[in-house]
Amino acid sequence: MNNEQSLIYNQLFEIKGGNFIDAGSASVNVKKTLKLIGIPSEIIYRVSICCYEAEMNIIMYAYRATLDFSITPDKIVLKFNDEGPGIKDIELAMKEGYSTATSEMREMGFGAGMGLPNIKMNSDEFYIESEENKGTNLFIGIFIDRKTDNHDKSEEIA
Amino acid sequence: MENTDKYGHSIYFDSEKCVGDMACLKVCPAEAIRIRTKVRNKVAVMLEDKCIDCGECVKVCKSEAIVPLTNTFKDFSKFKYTVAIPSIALYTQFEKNIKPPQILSLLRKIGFDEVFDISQASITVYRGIERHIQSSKIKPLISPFCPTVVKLIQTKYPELLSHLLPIISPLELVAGTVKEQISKRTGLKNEEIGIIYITPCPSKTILILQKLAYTNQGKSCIDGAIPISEIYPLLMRLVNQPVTHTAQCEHYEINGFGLKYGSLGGLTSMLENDNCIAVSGVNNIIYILEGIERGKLRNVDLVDMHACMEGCLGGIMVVENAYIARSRLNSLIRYYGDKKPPIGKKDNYENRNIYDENIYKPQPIKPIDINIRNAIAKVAKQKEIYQQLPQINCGACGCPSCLIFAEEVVQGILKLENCVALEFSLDSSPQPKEQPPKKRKQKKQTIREIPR
Repeated sequence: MNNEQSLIYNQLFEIKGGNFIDAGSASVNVKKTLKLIGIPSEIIYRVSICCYEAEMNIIMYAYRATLDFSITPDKIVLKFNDEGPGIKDIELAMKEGYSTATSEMREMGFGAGMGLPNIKMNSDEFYIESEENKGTNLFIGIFIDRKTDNHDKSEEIA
Repeated sequence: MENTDKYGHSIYFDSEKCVGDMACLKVCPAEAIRIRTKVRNKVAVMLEDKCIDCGECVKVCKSEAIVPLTNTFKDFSKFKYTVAIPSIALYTQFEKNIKPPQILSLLRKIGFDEVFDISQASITVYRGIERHIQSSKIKPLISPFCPTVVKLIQTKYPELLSHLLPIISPLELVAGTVKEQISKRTGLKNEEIGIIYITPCPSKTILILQKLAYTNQGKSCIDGAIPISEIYPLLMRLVNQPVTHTAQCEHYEINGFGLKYGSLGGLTSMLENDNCIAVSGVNNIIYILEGIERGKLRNVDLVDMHACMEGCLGGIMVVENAYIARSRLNSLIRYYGDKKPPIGKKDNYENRNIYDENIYKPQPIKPIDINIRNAIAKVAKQKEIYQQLPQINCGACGCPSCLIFAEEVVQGILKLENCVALEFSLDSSPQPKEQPPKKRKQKKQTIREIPR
């Protein structure tokens, strides 16, 4: 277990587009795992926002998607790959307040045009690529700042 | 009432009485109960870092092995002067013809030196909340009046601690005011005056046990808590006798509008603000907290949260059922008038500071390992073990779910052999795996044959 390579926790989730009833279940699972590991709560908070926003984007726009969630001692990675309409103009989608949400989506409290900007703001690494009528790939990386957590201290003692 | 652990829980598990019937295992919303083998018997134990003192387990335990930690009358002999502050829920335990002033007078008769009502103070608190909502930038605010809710946030949602209203409860306001006044009037020291809350639930004893800071002195002014269920029979015996203690009736000025505070949704209806919601039940609260954590509910001003269904009227130590109690409270509110009192009206609590200057500290659950590398490896291992398990959550291993069993195996607390269902499926796996497909095929064939 000393090998850094084996220290990767990995979990796959499937997300269905249009499934508003189960919306957020992947985020809840991700958060539970992070809490169990003992990741500092402010990092969990950021991961949870990113994960939820991305999950909601998929539920609102895409047909189906997978979430590849992994943790290494330094970093939490969320990879979303969806099959869907894709994003026409990524630059425009990254603008705060820009949204293509329908009025029904807005009624449910989504579509404020904050989704992607919010993810970018809360993540340390953010890559997005999209092909129209095919789908979108999203990479979110959040570093576990090991200076601030107290795991390090215990490690030093050990 | 003893502080048995550093977390200051209000519930105690008596392993002598426990029969290990697992009733509590499944109802715990915090997954804080395990059934462990002690000597020869299987008994329920509480994981102190996880328990949120909601009392669900107390409700379902048939062998009285889960004991709420509260006071009895004997504990109060150390005080020279005792003051009772009943929860509004006490007023709803009796028939409609018995009104709060009579109940308060009877409390004096059973031995308290003085009795105070909290309906007046709840108006002062509600006004403070109204002002705070207008000036606050944090949305939504969460009411901190249910200690279980505070504990839940401290353990599982520490990043939401800033959402808690920094305002003391009406109970704490009365307790603080009264203690100061009595001390001035009688010359007694603070320690000699016992402020006793007549409580609908054990979780209020957390305030006392943990010395949960609610006042400026950094400590709760409540010195003891006695359950409604213990006071009720004493009062019942006296209820049909004429009232004798009419002295100090000035304290018994009941305010109908303030009584609203006693029921679920009362605070939100007092605020007359449509952006306030009231939530009860631990699982419903978790659902809302998850929402707040993700940044939803930004349009909501205040969430009034109570762990018990129907709020304090549904507490585990009340006698009357919560629905009857609510109808009685509504009729009391009508009887005393539910009009909002004018703002300039003088009362006992003007000029009191109702802001809670203390900060609630997070009490996070212990992680699977303090070393992050080991923790990741352990969680991966847990997942692996979980995949091998039958995932039927039977509870026979003493864990509420298979996922938690997997965690305990990784931690070395339990062994894979402890899974009864796994053993069973391993023993009989070779035969049934081969047989069922054959049977199915045969069935299909017969079905096809009939129509032909």
